[in-house]
Amino acid sequence: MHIRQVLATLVLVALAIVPAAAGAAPSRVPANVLVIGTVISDSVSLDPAQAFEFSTTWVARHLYDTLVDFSRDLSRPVPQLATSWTASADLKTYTFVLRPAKFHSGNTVDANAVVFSIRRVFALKLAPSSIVTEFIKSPDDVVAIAPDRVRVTFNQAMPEVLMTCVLANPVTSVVDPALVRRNATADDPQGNRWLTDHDAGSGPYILIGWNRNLKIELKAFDNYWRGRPKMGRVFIQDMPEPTAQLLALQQGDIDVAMNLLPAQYKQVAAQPGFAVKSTPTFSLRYLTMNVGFEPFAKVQVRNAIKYALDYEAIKRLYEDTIDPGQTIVPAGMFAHLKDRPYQRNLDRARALMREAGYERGFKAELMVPVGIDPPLPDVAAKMKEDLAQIGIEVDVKVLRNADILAVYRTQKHQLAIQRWGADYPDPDNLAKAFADFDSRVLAWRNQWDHPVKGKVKQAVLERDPAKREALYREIQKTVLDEGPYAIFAYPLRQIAMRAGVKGLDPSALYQTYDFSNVTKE
Amino acid sequence: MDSSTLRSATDRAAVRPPRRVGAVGRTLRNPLSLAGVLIIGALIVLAALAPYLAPYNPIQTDVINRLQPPSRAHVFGTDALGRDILSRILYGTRISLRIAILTAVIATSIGAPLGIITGYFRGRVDDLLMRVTDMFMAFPRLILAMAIAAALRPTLENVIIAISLAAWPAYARLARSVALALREENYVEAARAIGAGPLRVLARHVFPGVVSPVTIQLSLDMGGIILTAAGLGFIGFGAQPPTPEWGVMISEGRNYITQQWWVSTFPGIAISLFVLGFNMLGDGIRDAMDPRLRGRGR
Amino acid sequence: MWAYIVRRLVLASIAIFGVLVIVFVLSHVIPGDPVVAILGGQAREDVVEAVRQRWGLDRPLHEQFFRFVGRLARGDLGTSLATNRPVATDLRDFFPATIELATTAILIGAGAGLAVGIFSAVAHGKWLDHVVRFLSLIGLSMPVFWLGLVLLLLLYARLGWLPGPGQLDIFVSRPPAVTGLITVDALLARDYGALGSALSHLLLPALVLGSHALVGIARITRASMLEVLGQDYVKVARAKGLAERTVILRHALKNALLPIITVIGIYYGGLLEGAVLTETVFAWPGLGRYATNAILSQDFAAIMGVTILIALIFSLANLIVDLAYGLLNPKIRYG
Repeated sequence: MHIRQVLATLVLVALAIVPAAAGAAPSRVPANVLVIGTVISDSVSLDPAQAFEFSTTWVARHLYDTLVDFSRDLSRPVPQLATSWTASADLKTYTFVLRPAKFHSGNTVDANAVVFSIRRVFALKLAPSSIVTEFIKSPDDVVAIAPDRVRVTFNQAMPEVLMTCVLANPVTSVVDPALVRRNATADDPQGNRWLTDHDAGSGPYILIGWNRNLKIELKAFDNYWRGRPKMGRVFIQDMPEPTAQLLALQQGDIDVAMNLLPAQYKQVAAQPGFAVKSTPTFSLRYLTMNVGFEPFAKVQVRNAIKYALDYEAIKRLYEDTIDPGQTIVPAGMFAHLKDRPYQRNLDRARALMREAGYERGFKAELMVPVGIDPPLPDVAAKMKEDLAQIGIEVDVKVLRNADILAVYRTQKHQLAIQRWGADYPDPDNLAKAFADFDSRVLAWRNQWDHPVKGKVKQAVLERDPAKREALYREIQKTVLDEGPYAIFAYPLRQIAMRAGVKGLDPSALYQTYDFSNVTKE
Repeated sequence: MDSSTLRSATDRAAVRPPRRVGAVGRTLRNPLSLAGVLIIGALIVLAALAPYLAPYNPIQTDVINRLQPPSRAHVFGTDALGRDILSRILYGTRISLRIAILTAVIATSIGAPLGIITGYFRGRVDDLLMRVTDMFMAFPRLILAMAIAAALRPTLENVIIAISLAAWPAYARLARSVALALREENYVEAARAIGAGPLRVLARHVFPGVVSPVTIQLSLDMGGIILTAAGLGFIGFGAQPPTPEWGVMISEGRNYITQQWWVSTFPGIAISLFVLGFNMLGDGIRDAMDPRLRGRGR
Repeated sequence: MWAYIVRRLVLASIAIFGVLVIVFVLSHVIPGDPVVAILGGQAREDVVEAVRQRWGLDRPLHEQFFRFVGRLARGDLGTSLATNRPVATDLRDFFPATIELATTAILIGAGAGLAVGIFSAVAHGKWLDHVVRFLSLIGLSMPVFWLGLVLLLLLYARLGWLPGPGQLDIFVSRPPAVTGLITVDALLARDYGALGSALSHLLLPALVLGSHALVGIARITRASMLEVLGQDYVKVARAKGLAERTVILRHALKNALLPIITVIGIYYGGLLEGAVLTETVFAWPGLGRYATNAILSQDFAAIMGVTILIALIFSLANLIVDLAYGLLNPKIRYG
């Protein structure tokens, strides 16, 4: 009997090694249900005033509406709760006219709700609040002037696209004031704790429940102003292991997988019955050098590093799923500068090291995060090898990103690999982060105080699009030539789905565009 | 792996009194422990000869040839960075041996003396030690090691420290219980009566009695230590790349398990084999040295 | 006996308090910053500062500790930074999943372990004994996370015999939570569809998690049985001509059970360790993953909450084991 078991085990192991037959198993998901496999274990809160991760902002977008939304190409605003708007001559004040719409509770969406929601962001001052507070000075600048009219006054001239960056962002989602007040408590007057896993929105979907580390369950809102979504139920399943997601997709347990590895997307794309869609994103991966660490004070050393990296090899580590751009404004965004001056050139890099007086090289520590982007530790290992070629002896430390951030945010790092995703689709966000020392973001963390910061402040106020574009190009060029960052990737966002799923596309800004239009064949 | 420590260990084994040789002999006559000894011996040889046996540099990347299936050029294939998996596994043997041996040495050399001393002298210090070990043992080893490794920053050295810190209380407990029993033994009391100082009693009479149970326990724990280290590597609290630590290799390879099965399979087999060797040896040693189990049940 | 239990409980609470102090210090010397861990790399400095103040994380360490202990005394475990919910709620949600997994695992481990152990002891020294021991040693030697991945690939992806990760099929709705244990809740609600789904999801992770316990229990069973089988009364029983089955089950096993129960108790507590890895591989919404996430994001209140819970379970498991000892062996007196 035991011998038989041994044999059975051997057969099973052999089966494991034999590749699975290609092709899709029949779907086990009913036709009016959409099941999405993704990672929600990092999700903190579905309160729109707190949601800041990819997962939560994306879900919140389906529970709530904002005044306006971006057109698909992100070039202009389109109506959402507001049907129309007018701007003052100085572009500082916008007046919005609301459409008749209902909250999930049955209450009416009105101007007071909009005012309540945006003031709530000021009161809570949580992670995404800076998107609002950077452009609106005080809560009193948002006013209801009629039951269906809201006036918003910004602290600077706001071209329509910049206005949309603020008022299409999920942080300005309109919440149901009556419902929030009913669930507020003395120590939590804004009902933040309740809204963490409840919804008070008017969006196409209603939150049924959120089982932490398991799933978020949504159902279609029958009275949605745009009409009831086709998919009556949506399950957002937490599947932290990419391999488990892949298997579930192939077995027909989920319709969509959002967190596969580059190689797995390739594998799925080649299989009949599946589709993989991809889009450039407004995010970037970069190697950062702290100017406060002596060798990096010299621009020659910084550029030597940029010349020493093997960008082609990095692209291959990502299975070609990146755009190897090098400027701070990613491709697809307004004013993107296409320049890619840095290619692996060891002679040039060594010459720069000599010029800087570091021909003997030096030692440096490189921190790389684990868990946020699977190829990054491999990229770090490759960089270690590349930099050894020009005498820089790199000590790679793979750490939790939280550990790295704690060091990075206090300016104590030497080298680190990091990512940045645009908070809003305007070059201002990236220019402020990477080039404006006074914004206390990345330029500050790397102690790179460069006169280019004046240009950043100038550009955001510039109203002539052509001049504005020229300014941002200039800023990008300066950062490229002198900055403490070696940008090596604009990653593509990919999602894999069963071929029958129609109308679901990845978005540059969120994980996908609205899934309320999805149909299944 | 330092071969001189090994040699001195075998030297010492050779001059042990005959009773020990009997134990060693019994250990080796058991087919399980003999197989364990052979596996571990082979791994030690592989570790020592890794630079000569490994066909490639274990940390040299070759991105063009990444994720190559096993072939004549790369017997176990290549990983995501195009590194030769066979070479990495060979060098990884050294790392796992180092973790296992250093952890064993540190944990027992903290635990055993503490246990012997407090068990022999009793009193407040003993109570205190018991409470401290209670605290440590109120926790699963992996979770404790995870917290310590997180606090110390994950490096190979800190992994060893973290596991040792999580493991020592078990040995302290064991040594203490033996010491408690031995201090009541007639021959120990006799030694005290003829005026032997406490140090001499501890060294000559108590310590030798503790060696055997601690060795048994240690040999049984050895596999667990390696698995804990691999588990730490798996969840990212372990050795740093490009160190070819097996747990980290599995963790890196799990992403490729459906298509490039070889990336995680070979390190998985390597760990299993290594732990298996220690487990078989541990079982064998226990059978041979534990008087309760000797020659029973036939 | 009651005095003994009280004494043990007092000792346990001292140990738990000590653990709390250690974990508190550990989680505060960890290089890193819980606020940053939650807010990520893009939050502005003023927001980080505001959150730090709101959570009292800008206060001196001892002050934070006393505030924590003060709250704890009132039965308040605090609020998790990472889930924005009371830690007690989180634990209530995640703990049953782990209990369910660990209990199933220990049932499998104990059942199969006993059988293998007895079999092995009876066949002591014969080649079957060696084969069984060899196989169980192999089981003990495989890293649990690797075994989990391989089995998932095999039984789910290749063969389709068992369902994939998660606790229930996606469309099986969860029975109304009474105990929090899905299988029990399904039974109470007479929802046999959900029960079947829950059981089939439970099997593979429980098998993987229980594999080490299985081998450990088999080992101690074998050793313990061997010892008992050598005793005179067993020889007498055999000499009396009793059936071998009776000798082994009625006479030997009963007396060999004591150390076996200890080991089962130890493994039951120890399953939490394997749960950390198993839950990650099987996307199981349990305490192990909650703990890992808490350590990863330095979610201080959550770390302390998990610490208290685990320490409590361990101490209770130990106490129960010791009491069981007394029931099985009246010669042991508590003191």
